[in-house]
Amino acid sequence: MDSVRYWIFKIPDWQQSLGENREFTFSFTQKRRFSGSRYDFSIVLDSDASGFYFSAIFVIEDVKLLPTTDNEGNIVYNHDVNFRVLERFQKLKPIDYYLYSIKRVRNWERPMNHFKLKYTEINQLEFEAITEDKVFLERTILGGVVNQLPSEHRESFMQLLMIEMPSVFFEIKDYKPVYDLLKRYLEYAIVNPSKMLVYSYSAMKGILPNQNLDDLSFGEVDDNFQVSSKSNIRGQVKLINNHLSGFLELLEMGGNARTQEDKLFKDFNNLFNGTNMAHLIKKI
Amino acid sequence: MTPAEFKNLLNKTELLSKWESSGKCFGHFQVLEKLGSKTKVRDRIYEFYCLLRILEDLAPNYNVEMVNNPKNDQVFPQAPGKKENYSYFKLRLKSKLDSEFQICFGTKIGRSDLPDDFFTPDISFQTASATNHPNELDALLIFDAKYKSNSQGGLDNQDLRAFMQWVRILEVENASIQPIVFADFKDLLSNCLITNGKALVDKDAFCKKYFIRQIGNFDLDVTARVVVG
Repeated sequence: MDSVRYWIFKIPDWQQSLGENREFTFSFTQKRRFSGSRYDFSIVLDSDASGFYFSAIFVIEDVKLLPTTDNEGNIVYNHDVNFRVLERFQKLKPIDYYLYSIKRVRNWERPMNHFKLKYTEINQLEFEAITEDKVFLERTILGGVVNQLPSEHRESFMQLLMIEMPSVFFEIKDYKPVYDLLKRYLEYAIVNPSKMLVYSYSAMKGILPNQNLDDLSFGEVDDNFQVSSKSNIRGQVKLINNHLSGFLELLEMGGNARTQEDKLFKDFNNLFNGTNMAHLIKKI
Repeated sequence: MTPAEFKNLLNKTELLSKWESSGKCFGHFQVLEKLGSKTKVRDRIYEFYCLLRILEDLAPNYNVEMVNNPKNDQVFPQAPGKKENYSYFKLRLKSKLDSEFQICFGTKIGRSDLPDDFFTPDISFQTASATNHPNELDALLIFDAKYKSNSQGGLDNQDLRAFMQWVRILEVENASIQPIVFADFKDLLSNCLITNGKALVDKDAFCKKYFIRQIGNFDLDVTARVVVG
C-alpha cells in the first residue's frame, strides 16, 4: 500500500454539507487531476472576517474523477472527493502560528498566496505541527518577531546579521544563534531605549515637579514652527510600563535550547535544510 | 508557547517598536552609524537619557527651568535642529543667583565668522545671555553621546578625532574651568564624549592634550563609569 499523504483543503461551508454519518462530498472541476486517495488525511482551511484558520481533520474515503470537456474543448476533470470528519478542532486554529512550520511558505507579505488552490500537499511533520500544535518554535518566534517589526528595525537587524553571521543568508544551519542575536538586537534597539525613556521621564518629573509634562515630546519643527511627527513621551512611557516585561517574558520562551536529541527539533532542522534568512522574512 | 502567547508576543512587538502617538519607528535602529539614512531618523533616546542624568546631578545645586518655544511646548529635537524651534533649560545656582547658564539639547551652534556652518553637539552648555542663534562665543562646554552596540564595543579613534575638532571649532577648550557645580559628576566637568560602551583607555594623553574626556560605561544600572582624559 502506498504511504498516506497529507493535504490542506479549502472547503467553504463544509459544515452545511455534512451528512449524519459525518461524511460529505466535495465536488470541483479543474484541469489537474487530484492525486490523493483513500486514507489520505486532510486539514480544512477556513476563513472569516478575522482571518484564516484550520477547523478540522478529515480523512479521504473515496476519490472519483470524471473527465469531461470545458467550454473551450479542453479536457477537465469533475472531482468528487468523499471526506469523513475525523475531528473538529475544539479551538479554531488561526493560521499565523503554523506558517513558519510549513516549508513552502516564503511570501511573508502575502502568505495566503501559498494556499490559493483548492488543495495543497504537506508532509507528516507539517501535518502534525498543525494538528498537535507541535510547531518549529525557534523559527516561528524568530520569523514572527522580525516580520512584525517596522521595516527600519528589520533592515537594521539584517545589517547586524550581515556583520555577525553572514552565512545565514546562504543557509541557516542552527536557529538558536540567530534567535540569540535577535534578542541582543532588540535589547540594543528597543528594550534599553525603552528603559532609558522611562528613566528620563521620571527624572524630568523629579527635576521639574511643578510642571505639567504631559506634552513632553520629540519632534521635528520646520521653519514655520510647525511640528511634524510629534512623539509623545508620557504616552510611550505608559505603553512601555504596560508591555515591556510581558514582552521580555514571552521572548524568552524561544530561548530554551533544544539539542539534536530532541527528535522534533531534528526533524524540523532536516525539513528546512538548505533554507536561509531570505525565506524567513519580508522583503526589505 | 501557545498560539495565544505567540499572538501576544507579536502584538507587544508591534506596540513597543513604534511611537504610539506618531506611529513612527521607536528606538535606535541604526546599527551602523556611518550608514545613517537621511530620510529615516533614529531616536535620540540615549542622548536624552544622558541629558537627564546630567540635569539630575545639577538639580540639587541649581534652580532648573525649562524654556519653551512659544509655539511648541516641551518639544525636543528628533534630529539636529534650530535652537529657536525647541525647548532648552536655564540653570541658576541656588547659592549664588547671578551664576547662570543654559543647557541645550540637539540644537545647532554656529560660528561668528561662518554664516553657513552649524555644529550640533548632543548637549551644549551656553552662557546665560546666549540668544536663539548661538555661536562659539556663547558655547561653554559640549557633550556628545555615543550609544554603542555589543558588536561595536565602544568609542573608536574616529569618534575622538571628530569630537576634538568640534571642541576646536566651538572654542570650548576652557570647559574644565567653567564655574559649573556638579554634585557626583565632578569628573564630567570637561568636553565629554559619553558612551554606554568602552572608553579608549590608552588615549589619556590625547584627550588631555585636546581638552576632551571620555566617559565610558555610562548606562542604566551601572554606577562605575570609566573616565579617560
